[in-house]
Amino acid sequence: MKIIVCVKQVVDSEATIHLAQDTISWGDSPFILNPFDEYAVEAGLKLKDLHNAEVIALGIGKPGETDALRRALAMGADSAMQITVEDPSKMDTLSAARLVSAAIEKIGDVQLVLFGRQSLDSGSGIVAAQTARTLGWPLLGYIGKIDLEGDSIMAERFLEEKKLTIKSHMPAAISVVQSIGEPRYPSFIGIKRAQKAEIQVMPAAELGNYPDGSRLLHDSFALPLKKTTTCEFITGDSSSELAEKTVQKMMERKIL
Amino acid sequence: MKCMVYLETLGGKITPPSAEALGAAKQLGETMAVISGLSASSATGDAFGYGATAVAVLNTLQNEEFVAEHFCEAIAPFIRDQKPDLVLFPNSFECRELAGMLSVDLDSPIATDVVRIETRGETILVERPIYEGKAFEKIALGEGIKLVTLRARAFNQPELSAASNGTIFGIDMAAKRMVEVLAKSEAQGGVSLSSAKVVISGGRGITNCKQLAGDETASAKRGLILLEELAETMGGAVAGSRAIVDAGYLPYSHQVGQTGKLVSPDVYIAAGISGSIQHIVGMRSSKLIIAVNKDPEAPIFEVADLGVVADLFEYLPALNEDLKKKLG
Ligand SMILES: Cc1cc2nc3c(=O)[nH]c(=O)nc-3n(C[C@H](O)[C@H](O)[C@H](O)COP(=O)(O)OP(=O)(O)OC[C@H]3O[C@@H](n4cnc5c(N)ncnc54)[C@H](O)[C@@H]3O)c2cc1C
Repeated sequence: MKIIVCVKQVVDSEATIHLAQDTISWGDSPFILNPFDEYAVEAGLKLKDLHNAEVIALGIGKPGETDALRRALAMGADSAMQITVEDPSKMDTLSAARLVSAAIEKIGDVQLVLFGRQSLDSGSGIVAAQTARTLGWPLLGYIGKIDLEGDSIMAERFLEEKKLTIKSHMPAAISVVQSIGEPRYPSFIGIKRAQKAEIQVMPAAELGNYPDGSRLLHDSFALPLKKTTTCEFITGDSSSELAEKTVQKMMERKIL
Repeated sequence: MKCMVYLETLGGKITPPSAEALGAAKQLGETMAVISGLSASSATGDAFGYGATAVAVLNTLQNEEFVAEHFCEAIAPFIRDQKPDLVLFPNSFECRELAGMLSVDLDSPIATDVVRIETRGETILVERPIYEGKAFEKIALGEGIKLVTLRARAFNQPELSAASNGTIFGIDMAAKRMVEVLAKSEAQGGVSLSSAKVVISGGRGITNCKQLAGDETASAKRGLILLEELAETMGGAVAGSRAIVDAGYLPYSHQVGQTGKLVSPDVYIAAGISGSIQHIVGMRSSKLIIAVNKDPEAPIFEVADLGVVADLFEYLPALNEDLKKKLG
């Protein structure tokens, strides 16, 4: 069984964002594997342990930007592939989904494609659905538990106010959430192997779908308004005095 | 401009984020509403009341749960027929799946989690957070039927007027079924976290009650009760940091932060939360942030509007008492 795990490289969430001349930069912050995708890698590796599956990490990025793929390899993925694009900023989610779908068809004989629930940087959270639809595969979204039996998939779907048990069949696309379990740490041997591993490259142009920059056109970046208020500390000698003053402040601000 | 809005309902009522989407659409032009949900047809009156000029009801089977493919199969042809310029959705998990699939069928420009919409001549521009809200990007949407999901509480909910009828369409479901829903368990009532006006959030501090020295589980139980009581008094929802979700004291769906939910209530009370960057990105756009922490140096105070240096096990009950008195 072949399982594809889609991974994206993002800037670390500790990074400070700078904006100048409508260009965003983040100093020398490292790139990391999108934390949401770590759960997808973990889901793939769990299935590998149970069903002897082959786990292939798949990313889209500039040639050479392979940190996330190597992290997936270090965690235990069998191999990694990169769809290379010259200018990822021109790529909207639909272009990404079409590229991933084309790659999956080219790889052939894939039973599952796993995604994290969204990326840390653009945060769109729709590529899994778009890929499922493009491939004509069922989507199992926001999944925290996966059981495979033959061709059928039983899964637990975690929505905001409810949990569903759903059933479908392979091939399928799955987006994975945190309930799947903590992502494993790479072993020393895993890290060594990942450093040396060869990452197979598929230029986007060869997949017949150039990134299409025409659906979404960048206009401008902005930083959020800085919070102008500093914290006002409430003081008092007893809990009841602190509480009373807090309620007063809420009333002054017409919050209650 | 011709707009369409997709409305989710709960118990036959239009959800607040859906009403906000309808309000946003109305600002842009004439709006047709598509209503979904287990008793969608009982919400048609309110859809007109919020300003829809026509309403289409998705004729799901009895007790049919949302499955993105099935809804997409039914709605895509309807959208193609109606040719709206723009379709707005709330930004729920379900709507992101549905809008994502529709973008494939309609070859549409799509933007999720949008916090502002503006027009420049014929062009529609949307603003959405990137890098976990550390920046915003404004994007012009290209040719085609534009699909946009709106962040909860970023747009105002319109007034509900008395108007309650107009043209009603039905949308039939397609026969194909790809995913079967076998069972469902619903959260125990309460207020939905993303659309809550008040969020009472607990961190690892709730596992540290002096009187229960050392007993984390007993502390957490007591702490959760304090959060719940306060939430009930204020009409809010309970949430938590990853520390208490990972420890199993709250379900994952109640986690606020980078790998959890983004919330922006009128009031966010952070009790026993240190204020890691991964937590802060999930709550910093709240209107009023009140932090209670034993440690005056806790980073949470850097984003708080009001700070209380206290033991939450003493402060929260006092706050609840006082609020109950004042709110009657
Ligand atoms: C990739 C990644 C993603 C993450 N995603 C998230 C996320 O989505 N959400 C999230 O919350 N975290 C997330 N984290 C974890 C985050 O870094 C912090 O570890 C976590 O938020 C800490 O939770 P906390 O503030 O509850 O606990 P702590 O940091 O342990 O803080 C506990 C606080 O409680 C105070 N306290 C203790 N006892 C009392 C008392 N009796 N009364 C009052 N105050 C008391 C202490 O002074 C302290 O400030 C993520 C981390 C990583 C690496």
